[in-house]
Amino acid sequence: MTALTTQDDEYAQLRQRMADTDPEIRRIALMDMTDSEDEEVAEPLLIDALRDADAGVRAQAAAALEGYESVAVVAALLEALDDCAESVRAAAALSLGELKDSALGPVLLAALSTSSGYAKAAIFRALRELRVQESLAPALSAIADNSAEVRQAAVGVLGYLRDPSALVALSLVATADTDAAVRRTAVGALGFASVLSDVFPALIKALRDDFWQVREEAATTLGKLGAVEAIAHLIGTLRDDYWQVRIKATRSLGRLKSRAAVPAVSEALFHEVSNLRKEAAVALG
Amino acid sequence: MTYAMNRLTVPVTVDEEKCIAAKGCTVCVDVCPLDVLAIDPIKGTAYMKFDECWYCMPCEKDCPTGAVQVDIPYLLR
Repeated sequence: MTALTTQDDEYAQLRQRMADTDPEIRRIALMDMTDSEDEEVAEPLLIDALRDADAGVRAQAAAALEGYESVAVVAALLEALDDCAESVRAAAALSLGELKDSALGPVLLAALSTSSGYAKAAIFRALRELRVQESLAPALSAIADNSAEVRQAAVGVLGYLRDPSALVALSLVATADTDAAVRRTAVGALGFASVLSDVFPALIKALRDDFWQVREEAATTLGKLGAVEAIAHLIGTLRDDYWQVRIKATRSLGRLKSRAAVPAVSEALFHEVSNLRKEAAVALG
Repeated sequence: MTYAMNRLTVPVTVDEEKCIAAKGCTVCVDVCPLDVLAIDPIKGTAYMKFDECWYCMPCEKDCPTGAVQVDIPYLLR
């Protein structure tokens, strides 16, 4: 009985602090709530706080809602993705990204059609880990989006879904997207292919990309896929202008246990960059 | 005469104008792994009570008003 009264007191006190005219007091009340209150009490208060007049309070509420998994919370956070303050949008996107319950997938999917840009990318990032099959179609159509951020997040969803029907689209993005970061993500996503020949041409092309991060990712992915057919190409990559790319090629050749690569990898034992020398020693060992 | 034993500056300084400890905020005190910060009950602001800083930075990063500043010694930077 006493316990209940104390809890009620605490709740009343919190409500009072949340209604204070000073935004800083409201914000501190939110911080205390994250530490001590049980979810049932805190959830409605936090959702209310997402509509606070002060951006600092809204951002704090959006951050505090991380880990709350209910339809009401997700709906409120989705709304916060369009907030006028950048800090609130960023906090809401981060909290959405922590969702683990795939039952919330439909709520996120429903919001996709009316969103664009930053919000749309954030929704795709939230969908990624949920791995709901229904996100396949929207992600496939979003890889033609105008915003590179959205394309990259959509590629992430496809990589997590590991659906073989997305490989053709991913190969195309990996080789033809205009944004290097998107190409790089797509090259990494190709690593889930179960039949090497589906992705081989795209990866070999990516190994000659203008941007070294894409080449680096392609060298890694080829090793991950156990692509012995790529050995000759990877040996060529050992002469890449960037030692970072050479490291990945060396590592992949080591994983593939390629005898043909031994002379070229041995040369790297004398490279001026110690990381590359170490990687060569590991690959040969 | 040397004053080396009585250090007047500490690595963690708090901007008293910005600090909102008087309103109930204790973020910097809570996050400090060494527990060297405290709230001055008279001034109602946070301050460095013990000079044992590890320069781990959460107090500066988490302060909701940006009142805390950690001066990392030159040789640690």
